[in-house]
Amino acid sequence: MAFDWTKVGARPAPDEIEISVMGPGFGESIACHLGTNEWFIVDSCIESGQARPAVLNYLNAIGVDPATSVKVVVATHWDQDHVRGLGQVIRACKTADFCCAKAFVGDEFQYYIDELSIGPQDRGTKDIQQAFDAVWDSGRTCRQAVPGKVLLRRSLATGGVIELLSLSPSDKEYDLFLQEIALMRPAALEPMRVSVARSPNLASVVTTLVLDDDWAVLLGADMERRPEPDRGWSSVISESVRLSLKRSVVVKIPHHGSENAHDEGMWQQMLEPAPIAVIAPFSKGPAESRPPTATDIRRIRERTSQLLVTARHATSRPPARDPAVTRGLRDSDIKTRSLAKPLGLVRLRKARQASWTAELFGPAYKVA
Amino acid sequence: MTNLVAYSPEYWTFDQRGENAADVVDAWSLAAINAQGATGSTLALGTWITEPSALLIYETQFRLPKRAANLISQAPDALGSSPDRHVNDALLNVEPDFLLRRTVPPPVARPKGNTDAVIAEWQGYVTRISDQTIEARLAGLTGEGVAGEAEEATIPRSEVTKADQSLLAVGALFRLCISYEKTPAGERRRYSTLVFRRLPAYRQQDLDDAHERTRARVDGLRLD
Repeated sequence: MAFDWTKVGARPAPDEIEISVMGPGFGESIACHLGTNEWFIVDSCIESGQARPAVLNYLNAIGVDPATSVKVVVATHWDQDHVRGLGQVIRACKTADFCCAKAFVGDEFQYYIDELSIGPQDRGTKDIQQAFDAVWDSGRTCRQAVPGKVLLRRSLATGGVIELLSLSPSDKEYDLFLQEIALMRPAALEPMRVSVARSPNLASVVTTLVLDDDWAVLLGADMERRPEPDRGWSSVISESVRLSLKRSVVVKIPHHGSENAHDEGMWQQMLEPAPIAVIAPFSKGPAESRPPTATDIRRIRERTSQLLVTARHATSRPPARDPAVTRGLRDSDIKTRSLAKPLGLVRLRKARQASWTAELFGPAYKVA
Repeated sequence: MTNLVAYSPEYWTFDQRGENAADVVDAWSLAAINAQGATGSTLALGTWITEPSALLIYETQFRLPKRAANLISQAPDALGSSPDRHVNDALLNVEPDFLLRRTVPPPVARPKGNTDAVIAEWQGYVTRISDQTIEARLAGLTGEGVAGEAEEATIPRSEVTKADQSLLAVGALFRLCISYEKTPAGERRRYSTLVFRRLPAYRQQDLDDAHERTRARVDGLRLD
């Protein structure tokens, strides 16, 4: 069933901060209100069966014009579940800067995505290519995310300065990303194939939204835990310590709550005790390993005051079809799982002197 | 003595998988009979059974008596009209050296129309290969509840034919079909086919063109 956008109500008050996380079970997108109808967007996803990115549907539903209100569109990385419809988002947000990892605007990656356009492409590659086409066509600024860079700064009418900072990717991740792309680039006389990234979360852009000494929000992208000090959460934590960043009261849990993104240092050094946490699940792959698993939920829940999830791991059963098709697949021991998942929305709002309030829409739920 | 090849649908049945198999047999058989005319004395009776990946030819021989040969020679228009009737008329008068034995199932009424029916079809690409299985992303092309749907699949590696083993790689494109076919005995049989696509190689010229496009774009990006 399609998400009912008529139920999301009105736009936030001018002095309200909003963090809205949309997740259809395969993909995520975040819309953030900085105050006075100024927004930024992180990543893009599309609800199953729909053509328009969820975040544009959301802004439209609450009466926000993305052409004038959105100031920055951030692409955290190029995995399919984070870039669906990104080109549409950039085109709709006519006055927004585009922000991505520095490695994405380098020759290596740009050559790679153009080379892939010669042969068959997966959806993610097309989406990132369309995003750069939209940036290039409109001649807008492309901001390169590196640790400690201010992507957006606004003085609020209610007082104070709000900043959006990037905390990654580290130089090491940048190098590794380029190495991986170099290995993936097609060469003459090689047969055409769909390019499948081996480490799509490499060079993820973690961001933090900070309002003076008042509060901070951490948006964890798909950053993973790494043993090396100059990679993954280790490097992000080092950067936050270097910048003396305020600890966050709200966190978008990295990498859909998976164990490989859990870093105790993030909880101890970057977050306030018992923060509000939001997860956009990843309902792909075998049922037992889809993040967040029950174990992931327990692990995160015990560290948070509220744990909000955009959607349940919906059934992966394919839609109703000819029983002969089902039997035919079964006879050949072929197992299929639907990637169509219902969209859910977790919305957090906060007025200047008030505490955060959470609203849930669609299949979104609060973990007891 | 001339060896001839002919067929009779009364005695032999054809797998219907190859859409034009029967027509091919008709033309070839009748051409051979025509060449032999009334002088031949030995008839090779043949037929094709088409299999998914092979063409089998069953053939036997028997002596063609003068009477049968005359019948064929009296039908100069056999190639042009009602070939089955003429061939059958000839064969009805055959006195073979040995008994013909059917080497294929008994004849059945020919099903009308194309008997192979694709009931579901996907295009996919391989995302991961392990010892026993292939992980793939599927886009539904044909079939109720299949067309337009995005799915992922786990496929046993045993489904990949020997001929396609060399094409199996991460990123390789394939078609997966579930179809019905009519067996020679007239039964409906369901089967799946997994066929990997042989795609062309990247050409240096295309890559060079792509690099030119990239250069123009990268140079035009306003970076901060």
